[in-house]
Amino acid sequence: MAVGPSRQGGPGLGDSSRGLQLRVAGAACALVAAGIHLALAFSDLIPGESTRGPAFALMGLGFAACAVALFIRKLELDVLVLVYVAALILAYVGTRDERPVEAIGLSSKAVESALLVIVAILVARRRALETTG
Amino acid sequence: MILRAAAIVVGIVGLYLDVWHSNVLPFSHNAVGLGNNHSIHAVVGLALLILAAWLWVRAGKAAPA
Repeated sequence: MAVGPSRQGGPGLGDSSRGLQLRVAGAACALVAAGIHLALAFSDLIPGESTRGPAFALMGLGFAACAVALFIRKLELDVLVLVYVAALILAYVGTRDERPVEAIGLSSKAVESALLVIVAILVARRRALETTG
Repeated sequence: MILRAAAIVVGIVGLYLDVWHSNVLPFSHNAVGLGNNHSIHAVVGLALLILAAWLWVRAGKAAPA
């Protein structure tokens, strides 16, 4: 798996060194989000919300997979990461009427929002490069 | 190949989110801790099914003839 800068066609299309920096930053955000979700899967850290169980473990593993997917450098996988993160942020926002809003959740969503912005930039850059050739 | 695998995984997760609401079924949303927000599960599941279809089509276009 090549992770270095590349301007050739194929999987590395359009990934300059700036693109690589964005991918590293995105992977770091994804790993932080994965760590938070895995920690919540193993213990109920949020008062008033039961998080222990397979759901949060799978969400954490999904974020870890996102970190790996970012380095495969395919547009389709970048879009997949984008939809995954957006879906989890939507799910968080949609469930706050009956579940608590607190620091751990907000911290996780802040990191996920940063990841969402980074991946959106990566997708936009890739699409711009593909359309201009 | 990796896109087809991703499409299959995303499709299965999408189907799970759209179908497995009830406690009657093993590993239902309630049983795994996803809670009772089934409308959100349905919306996310539908989005994932659309994404899976898109990934499958893109994989077909990317595959060598």
